[in-house]
Amino acid sequence: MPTSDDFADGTRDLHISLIVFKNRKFQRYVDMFRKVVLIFAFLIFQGCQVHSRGELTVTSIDVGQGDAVLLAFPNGKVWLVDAGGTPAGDTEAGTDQGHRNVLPVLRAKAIQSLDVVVMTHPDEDHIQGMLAIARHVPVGRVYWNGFQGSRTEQRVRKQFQQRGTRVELLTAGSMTHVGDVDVHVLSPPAKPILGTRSPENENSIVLLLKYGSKTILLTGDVEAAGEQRLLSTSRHELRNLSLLKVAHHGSDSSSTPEFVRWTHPQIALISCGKRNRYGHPSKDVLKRFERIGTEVYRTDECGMIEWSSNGQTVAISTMLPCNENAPRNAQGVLN
Amino acid sequence: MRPLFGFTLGMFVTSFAVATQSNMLIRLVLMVLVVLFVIVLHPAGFFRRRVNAVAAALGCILIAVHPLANDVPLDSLPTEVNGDVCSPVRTGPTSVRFTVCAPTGKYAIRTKTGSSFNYLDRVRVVSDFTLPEPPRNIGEFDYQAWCRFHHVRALSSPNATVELVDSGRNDIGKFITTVRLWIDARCKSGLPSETAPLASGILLSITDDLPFELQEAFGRTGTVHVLSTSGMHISVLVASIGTVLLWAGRTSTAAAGLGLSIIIGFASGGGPAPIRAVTSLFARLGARFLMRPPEPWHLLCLCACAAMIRDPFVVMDAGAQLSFQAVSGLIVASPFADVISQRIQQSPAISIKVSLTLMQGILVSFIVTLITAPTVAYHMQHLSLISPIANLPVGFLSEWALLIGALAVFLGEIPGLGAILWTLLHGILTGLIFVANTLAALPYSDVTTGVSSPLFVILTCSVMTAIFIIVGKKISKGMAVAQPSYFVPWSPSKPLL
Repeated sequence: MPTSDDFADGTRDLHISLIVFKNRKFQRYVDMFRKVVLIFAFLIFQGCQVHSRGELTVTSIDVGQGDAVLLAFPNGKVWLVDAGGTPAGDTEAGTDQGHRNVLPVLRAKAIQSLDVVVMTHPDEDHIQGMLAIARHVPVGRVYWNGFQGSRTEQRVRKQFQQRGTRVELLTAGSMTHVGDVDVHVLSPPAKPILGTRSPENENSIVLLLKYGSKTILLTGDVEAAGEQRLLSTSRHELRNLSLLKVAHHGSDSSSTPEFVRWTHPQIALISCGKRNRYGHPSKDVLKRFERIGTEVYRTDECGMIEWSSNGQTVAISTMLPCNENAPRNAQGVLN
Repeated sequence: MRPLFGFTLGMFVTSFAVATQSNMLIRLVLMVLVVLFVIVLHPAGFFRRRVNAVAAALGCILIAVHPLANDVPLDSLPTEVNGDVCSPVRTGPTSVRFTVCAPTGKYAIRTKTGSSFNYLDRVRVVSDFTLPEPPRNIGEFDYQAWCRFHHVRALSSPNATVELVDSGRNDIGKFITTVRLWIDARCKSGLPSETAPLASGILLSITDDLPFELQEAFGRTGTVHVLSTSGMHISVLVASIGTVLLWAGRTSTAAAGLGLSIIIGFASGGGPAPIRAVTSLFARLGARFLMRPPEPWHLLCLCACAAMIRDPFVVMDAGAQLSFQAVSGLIVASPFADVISQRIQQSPAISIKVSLTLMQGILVSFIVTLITAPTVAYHMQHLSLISPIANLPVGFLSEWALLIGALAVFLGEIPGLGAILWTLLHGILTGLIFVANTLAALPYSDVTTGVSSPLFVILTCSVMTAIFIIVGKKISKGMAVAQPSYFVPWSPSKPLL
């Protein structure tokens, strides 16, 4: 049995590092420590990317044939709208888009947690990557459009709920302020659009972001009927967009001539896979944008695309060199 | 021995210039700068400066004339390649993957399952070769850069046609492949499916069948190094050999240990970590024969030279950088550990000894984690906060798993003893999986970093190493600093080496 003397010895031994400093050179060590802290603070400031610099940043992550948009607000809040996915993706083996593409981007941008995750609609190419997000990233709140779709969609919601994340329904008419950015929900309508080819797509969550003089529209996979409804309910807000995330990967079932003409976006982002089997984006859709002079950026050509604005000016950068027609000062290659 | 530092510095700077594809003028300027640096700034006397400068110049020249440093890119991609299989053959569920070394460079080959090839077989590959694609998102693994640093010229199509041309002269390759497959098969037959892949991972770095979730758990806890062949493998296995051959004398023990470590190095693919470990063992045994105590920094320089002579591009390899930094961390942690060791010896009570031993392990693990942290943050884009704690149980369990695993593989057929060894190994591996999963599930066990500046990595690593060396020298004043060890409490290599 150890005696009380042993215990006293042990306590002294356990604080060996303190013993080292209990000498007359103590002050020197404190000074050295101060210098070290200063040096490290400087180095960490130099070495780390600060992902929010008073700018609204919209990042279209290249998830192949799917959608994943990361919104970094000027006040530091971060939202993820969809997370890509592949119909045959195997989440257990780590080959899905969430593991392969979305998580690395979050890590590279030093994003520890997401304030909001939006599942625009339950298609696999939009939500399967959420399984990885639910497992690895703390999420504040999840919004969905209320359309129960695939088994994956149920798994995603269940996984978020098991982690204690609130999953809430989002309908048109909601509005929130994230710092200086106004986020309006334009779709899905309280009374869903039914009787069309794809009601899940038509009732996608559509977000309109307003920051200074800039307006951004994220459309999910809304198709012609959904776009028509948007034009009838929010016509005024949709005029002359700064940035449009083109609906349904540039399919000709969306981006009707009337919608494109009216919204007249300065920049259009199309998220689609290289040599995808659906032929996205449609040539007709590309021509519609070309006709009105919109700069089109495609993830299959440019890789990840990052649009950022301070509310007045806009900068766009792409991971791969692409879009040679874009003004040189408006395009930079990341890394 | 001091010129070794100049020599290593010369090799390192030239390797860096080569790996970053600097042009000949920049290479020459850098080489001259190194020599001038050694002449002007070296604190020793004039003669030593001159010797060091000559050594630095020699180091520069050695890399400058290295065949790999003067590689010329191909004008066009081939459709047929004749060469030798020069990597371990990895068999996945749907494909077989290996590297072919041809006169025009290395090629990464993927073909259908069912084909049987051995290390060093001469093969002919017919395929539409392609170049690897650049990363499409930030933070994504840069396969293009990886191929450039590993001299992989092109990738075959997923179903390349591969014909065996000659395997008659390839006895060493066959032996190595057979050893790998045999160990893997023994693990699969002796252990349940939950723990067999981890046994193969720890014994021979075969991680093909290891569940992705478990690999991630090791990554999140900063303990993924137990799955790559390194100094831990060499020290544990050589210590075991040393114990078994204690009666046979020093020469036989050293020869057996070296032979085993070389086989392990080859069988695990001959990466930078095994090369470092084997070179270090070679030098340490040599020093023991010459009755001279080996100096840890000199050993590390020697290992770096060996790795750079094999391939100058190794300086850009994340695995090599981490391997050398971890050993640097162990060296700078040695004085701190030695101070605690002294207290352990002086303490009378067992409970105090146990507490101090644990404290020593945590302290060393913390210093090593801190010194490797900037590199991990840069390459992996996340950093394990639990790593200093996690390395203790994981290191302890994996070292015992390695020893018991090696015994089980060789003695597992003996009735009675075999069952005991396999059961013991299964228990240890189950514990390892439990510890890794539990610690990985803790909130903030790892954090994303967003570090994108190589300058930040170089500066922080240098500053931290310098600080620890200075403080360590002050603390251990008057004490003989021991050789760096792994400082895993109650490691199987501890009482033996």
